[in-house]
Parts: sequence; C-alpha cells; structure tokens
Amino acid sequence: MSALYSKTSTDSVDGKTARPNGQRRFHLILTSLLFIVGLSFVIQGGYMQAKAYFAQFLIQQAWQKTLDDQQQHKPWSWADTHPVAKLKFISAAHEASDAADRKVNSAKSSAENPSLYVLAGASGRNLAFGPAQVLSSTAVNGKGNTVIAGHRDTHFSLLKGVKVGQLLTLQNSQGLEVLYKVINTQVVHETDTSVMADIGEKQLTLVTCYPFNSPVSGGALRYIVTAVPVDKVEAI
Amino acid sequence: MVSQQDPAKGLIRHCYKALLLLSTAFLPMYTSATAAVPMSATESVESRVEMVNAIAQGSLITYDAAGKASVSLPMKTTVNMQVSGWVNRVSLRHEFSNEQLVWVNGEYLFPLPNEAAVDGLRMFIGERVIEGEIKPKAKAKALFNEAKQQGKKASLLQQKRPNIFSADVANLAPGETLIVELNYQELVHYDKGEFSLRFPMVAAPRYKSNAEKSAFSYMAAEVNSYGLSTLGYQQGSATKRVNLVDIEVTLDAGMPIGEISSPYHQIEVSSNADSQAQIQLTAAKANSDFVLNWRPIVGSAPKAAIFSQQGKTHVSDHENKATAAQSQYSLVMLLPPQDKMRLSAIAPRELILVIDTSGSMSGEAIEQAKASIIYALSGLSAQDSFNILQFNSNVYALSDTPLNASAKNIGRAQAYVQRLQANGGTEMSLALDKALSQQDLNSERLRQVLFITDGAIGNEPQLFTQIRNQLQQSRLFTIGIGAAPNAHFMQRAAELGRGTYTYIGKQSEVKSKMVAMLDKLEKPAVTDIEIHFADGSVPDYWPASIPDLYAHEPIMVAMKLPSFSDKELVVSGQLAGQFWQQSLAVENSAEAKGLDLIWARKQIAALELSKEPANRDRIEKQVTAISLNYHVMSAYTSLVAIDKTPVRPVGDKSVNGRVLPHTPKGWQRLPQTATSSYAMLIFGGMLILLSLLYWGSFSGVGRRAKKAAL
Repeated sequence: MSALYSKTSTDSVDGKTARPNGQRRFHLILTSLLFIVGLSFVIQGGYMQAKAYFAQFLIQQAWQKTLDDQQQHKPWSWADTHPVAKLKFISAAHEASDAADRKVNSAKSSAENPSLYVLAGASGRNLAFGPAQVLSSTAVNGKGNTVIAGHRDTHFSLLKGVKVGQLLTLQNSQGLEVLYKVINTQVVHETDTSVMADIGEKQLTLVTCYPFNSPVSGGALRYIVTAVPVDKVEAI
Repeated sequence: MVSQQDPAKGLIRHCYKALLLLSTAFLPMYTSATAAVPMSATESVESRVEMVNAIAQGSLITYDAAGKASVSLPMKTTVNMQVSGWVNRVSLRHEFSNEQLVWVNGEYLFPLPNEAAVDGLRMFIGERVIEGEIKPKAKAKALFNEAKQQGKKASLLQQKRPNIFSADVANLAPGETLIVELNYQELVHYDKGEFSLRFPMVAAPRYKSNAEKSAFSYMAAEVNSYGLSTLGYQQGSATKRVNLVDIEVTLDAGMPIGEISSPYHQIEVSSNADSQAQIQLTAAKANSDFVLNWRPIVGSAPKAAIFSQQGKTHVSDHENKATAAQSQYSLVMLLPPQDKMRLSAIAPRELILVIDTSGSMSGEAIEQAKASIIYALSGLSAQDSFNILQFNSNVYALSDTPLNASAKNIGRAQAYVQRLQANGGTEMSLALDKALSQQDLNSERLRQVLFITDGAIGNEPQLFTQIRNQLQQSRLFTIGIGAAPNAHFMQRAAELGRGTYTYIGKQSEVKSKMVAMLDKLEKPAVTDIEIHFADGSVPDYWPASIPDLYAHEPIMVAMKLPSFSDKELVVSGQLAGQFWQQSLAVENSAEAKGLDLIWARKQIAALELSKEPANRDRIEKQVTAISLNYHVMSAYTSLVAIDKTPVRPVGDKSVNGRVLPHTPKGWQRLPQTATSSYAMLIFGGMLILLSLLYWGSFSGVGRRAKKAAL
C-alpha cells in the first residue's frame, strides 16, 4: 500500500515540475468547486433547520395576538396559514414530582416543557415552519380526532422520546387548554389512514416520519402517537 | 533552515495524504450508506404491505399474558348473498377458533362495501343463537365491557368508518370456536347495461419462504414499539393456514340473464330458470375483491321502475305490526331516456377551470393540478367554450369572457397553465364569486365549474352559503389534490353544487381519475331532476338534491311514502335544454325487501355530509334516532350481543387481543413529514472537509514543487 502510495506521489511531482501553473489552476478550481458545493449543501440544510427554529418565534407572536382578540393572524404577511393551537409536552419529571418540587419545576417549566405552535393545513410548505393540523381532521380540542403532523428532523424530533403515559396539553384559539395522555405509539404505512379516522370521541393524533434517524426524506413509514383527554383514560 | 523544516513538513504532508485517502474512501461509503436507507425502507414497506395483506379480511391477533403474540386467522369466512332485482342481502360469517390455553378477548377489523346498511349481528354458541341489539355507541360499549368483566360471552360490532367495521368478542374459551354472523343490505350497481356487485376481501396471506422472514421481522419491530419486550410467534400454524372464503350467491335478476362473469375468480354457475342462477365460489383465496357481473339478454334493459315494501323490516316491541297507518318504502330508479336520437343530442358546454395557486399547493400538488387541467382541456369539442381562473390572494383569469375551444385558444391556455406558480393566500370566496357570477342565464350551454384545490380554508360555512346562493344553472365539480385535502369541504361543496367530488392523491392517478370524470361531464343527459306527487306535494326522499342523470348510469332514489299519500309520482327535469317529465304509478311497483334499511342508510349518509361544527350535536342526535328506529348501524350506534349466563370461571383470567390496522384502499395518504436537512448537513460538511483536505495536500505539494524548482 505504502509502496504504491509513494510511487504515485513521485509521478505527480514529476508532472508538477513540467507544468506547474496548469496543474495548480486545475487543483484550485477543483478545490473551490468542491468547497462551494459543500457549502451550498450545508447552507440548504442549515436553512431548513434555522427556518424551522426561528419561524416558531414569529408564529408565537401571531398566536399571542390570536389569543388576545380571537381572530386569525398570519405569522408573516405573505403566509398562507395561521396558528391554530399550542402544543406543550409536559416532562415526566414534572408529573412525578411531589408538591415540594413543583415550585422549582414551574420556574423551569418553559425550558423543560417544550411548546410548539401548530399551523393550519399540513402542506409541505407549512410543515417547514411548524407542526400543522391536517385540515380534514376535527378542529382543535373538538369532539373528534385532531390530527397534527410535524417533521421528524425538526419540531417533532422530540416524539422519539414520547412514551405511553406522557402528558400533553393542547390550547385552542379561545385559550382553552385540554390535558391529554398518550395511550399508544405505533408505526404505520403512509397509506394507512385509519389512524386519522374520526370515531366521534375526543382524541389527539400526532404524525411524523419514521425511522427518526434516517438522514433522507421520502420514507413510507409514519410514527403515530395517540393521546386521549386525561379524564377519559380510565374509561378506555 | 531548510533542512530543519524538512522532516516536519514531510510529516504534515504524510498526514494530509493519509487523511485525503481516508476521506476519499469514506465518501463512497457514506453515499452508499445513504442510498441504502431508502432501499431498506422500501423493503420494509413491501414486507409491511405483505403483513397487512395477511390480516386483511377479519384476522384475529391475540396476545397472551407474557406478551406473546399469536396470529389466529379465521378458519373460514362464509358469505351468503341473496340478490333480488336491485337489492342484495348479505350474511357474512366469521368462524374463529381460540387455540390458546387461556381465555381470550379479541378485536378484529374488516372491510364492507361503502353503502352497506348493517342491520344484524348474531353470535352462535353451540346450538344457541344470540341476537344482537342496536344501542347508542357509549351504552353498547358499557354493556359489552360489563359482560366481559362478568365472564359472559359477548360480541360488539362498531363502525369505524363508513366502510370499515370492527367486531369485539369477549371470553372465548380455550379450544373453542365462535361464529359471528352479520347481515347487511346494499343496492347492486348498474352501468352501461351491466349489473355488478362487489364484496371487499383484501389479499390473503401469501407467505413465501423469503418474504416470510422480512414480514415477521418487520412485525416484530412494530410490536416492539408497542412496548412489548419478549415476543414469539407461532409461525408454524400461521404459515400453514390459508385464509379461504366461501361465497354463495342466489341471483334472481328479475329479467332474463344473458351472461354472468366474475373477473377475478373462478365461479361455478348453475341456472334453474331464465332469470335465476346459483353462483358458487368454494375455498377461494381472498387475494382480491370478489366482483360479480351479470348482463340481461339483449333488448331487456331495465326500464324506469319502482319497487316498494310495506312497513319496516325490524319492528320493535312497542310497535304493533298490524298498525293501520303503516308507511310504504319505495325505491325509484331514474334512467335517462333510451332513444338514441335524444342521447346523441349533446348540449354545448361552458367549462370554467378554477385552480388554486395558493402557497399550500406548492410542490407536488400544483403539478398534479396542472396535469388535471391539461386533461380537462383536451376533452373539449369545437362547439364548447372555456375559461381558466387561478386564485391565491387574488383572482386572475385567462380571459375576461369565455373563449371558444379552438386549437389556438387551447394552446394559449396550456401555455398559461404551465406558467402557474403556487404562492400567497387562499381567497376561495373571490374565486367562487368570479366563477359563478359571470353566468349568462339565456345561454343554452351547460355550465360546468371544475374547482381544483386542496381545500385549505377556514371559512367553510360562508362558502357553503355562497355556493347555495350563486350556483343558479352551473354545476360545481370539486377535485381534491395533495396528500391530505379537506375532503369533507369538497364533498359537501360538490353536493351543494350538484356535481361530484374526485380525489387525486398521486401524479400517476391523474389520468385515470380525470378520464373517468370527464367521460361523465361530456355526456350529461337529464339535469334539474325533481320528484313530486301528482298533486304537487313532495315525498320524503334521499338523496335530497338529486344529482344530474348521466347516460347509462341510473340513479336510485329511496323514499318513504305515508299510507294516505297520492299514488302517482311525477319525475321532471331538463333534457338537452327541454323540459322532460315522466309519471310513475306507485301501485305498479314490484315487491322488494329491506327498502326501509336503504332509505335509512341514505338518509344517514346525507345527514353525515351536512355535519358542521355548529350543527354537530343535532345531526348526531338525528342519526342516532334514525339508526335506533330502523335498526341500522351508524357512526354513533353499535350492535351488541350478550350471552345471559357467565361461562368463564371466576378464578380464570382472560387476556386481551389486539389487531393491526387494516389497510385502506388508497383513499388518502398521511402527510410527508421529513426533510433531508440532516443528509444535506452531513453531505455538505463532508464535501467541505474534503475540499479543505485536498487544498491542504495540494498546497503542500505545490510548496514542495516550488522548493524543488529552487
């Protein structure tokens, strides 16, 4: 291996001495081309992540306005959507803690309980900015199945850690919050829309792509988290 | 100085080269790894489909106390159909056996035809038969759970979606076989001179030796995600068994039968009279839906007809069968006039194509919409006219007035459509206004509005009112695009607009769906159909707004006639721009059974469609009342059968079974929920690193070359 290695390097040195300038330019162009392509990929990927992260701030402002005046507000003027709900994941520690710890927990709650702002309409464009409600599903906290989809590599990456028993709250535009408890997680094929079926009972279904660690998009599997209001858990 | 630096430089150079070699070796490795991901994904999808197929027609999956799962397929599915004229009465039997050593509770899902009116549930335990009763959903569930607790045998039938049902069974003893039978009523389909019926029974297990492994490994992964740690399958029993279906059809067509066929199965036909036949399908592999077609002999096509039935099928205890004022239930078949002269006189059309170019349509959706429009344009004939509207935050039209369908204008329209881009808001109200307000009421042309959108809107009730008020002579056809369109909105809009709703989920579906729809649009026969009695009063009929009648495709209208009503019905409409009417005598109607069930099912379907957040509770109450009154299942009622005597000994425990979901038939897809941002970051990072290393090694070489030159 090393013998072959040294041989090729001597060859290249010989070539270099013959036409140093042409060789140099070729290397320079190749290197900068590689660099630019690489940089553009990083920028594109980073832009997706940054867009997903920073859009939530704008959406949060629109949501505040919505809560204040009960009207629909677009997060930015050219948007084709508006926030419809706020989804909060309540950490397991919070649930388990006793009364003494609760104070400490509530102080840290914003850091421990990640909140997401949900947009109307699960189109590809909306999903880049935040999790979105599937339009054909029941209105937020309505009597029926509310389906919210999100990208597994940005907002809904935290579904990976969701286990049965996890508590969630969902706030609608009237400011009404409902506490849900996860009762099931499963993996389904993308054509299996039975998970979006409305059985006439209040239910929250979160949808994201599966498997979580796959670097590329386009897989046909979905990870489904089903939650029901806490007062109904005993009944089921 | 030079001699001092030399060994250090050599070392650095060597490092660079080693790194370069490493990274060049790593790059193809990485790319092949990322390429392998989608490959393995599709593989698992295939095995997933295989597995889902395996459990399609009513399979029971049970778990024992240790979390061990076993797949118990039905030993036998028996279907018995009685076709008389237009009505098909079906009884479906599932025989399950519990091969466990413990008591088992199970649940299974199965498909039924979309319009099936399910009205009966029976549980057979040895010699005894237990009839199911219809109850409001919550009550039925409570009764079932109570029976389950007390160790009684029980069965519960629930509607999950209009065409997907679930049945629960409780307290199945070790080694026992349970038979659950359900009954439903449906109308047979008639199109282009041929009758047909369809029984859904998605594919059977096709366990091949190599496919088997992946199917099970995938399933194991899925079950693990349920949180079960240990898992073992009774592979032996599952692989040996094949899901077989017996189907027996007693066909009484009511007119001489010319030809009977089944496209996907080998059937045995024995005929005992001109209009009667016995069809048998024994031990069929359930690998495709069962379809039966029959054609009356030439010259005996069905004529406009009326069928009726006195009283209800299921009479409850407090109602007396001999009550004088019994209602009559009728089924009226509307058939376009059959004479060729009139059918060939096709009225010219004015086609308005409305395309949603809002931001939510960006990506694949807008491409599908464009392809759909191009197809619609190609179906125009020279006498027609058309226009194209696009809307996002504003509405833009191709032309101010409708254009003639000349080759030049169509070419212009195609170029216009290709340039469309998705951006901005969704002001659907403006678009509807523009599409519906420019009507020339004196025109003879049929005005058809094709509305292509994903339905991403928030003001549904206003839009429904707008359609109702502005429709006039137009017909509104909605086409849903994309992964998850607002199907309820578009279905209801099409109903109010007296058109149809078509869903296009994939680019590959555009052609077949558009062709089927345009074929209809090109040949409408009778429009503005109304039914009333000869004295002018209107009977209670469903569907409430009768859609247009298209050639070769009759419409069935179910109605309830009070005993004192007039005995002559008048059907009227517009035929190629001229008034047309026909009278039907109720007395001449043919006898048929189960028409009240069909009437109730049609009314429930109509009520469900008119459901909005504001009237939701009222609709639910109405549907529940109809459902209880007519003993027909709905989304809010369930059938429950409970054995009176407890059979499970008090000490014994039972375990719960569960079912993997059934695959729906491509009605919608779940949204796409991932980006390739990780792949881009990783790949881009690799490239940058590579370019830096390359630069480093090259500049090292360059310096050495310079040095050599010195």
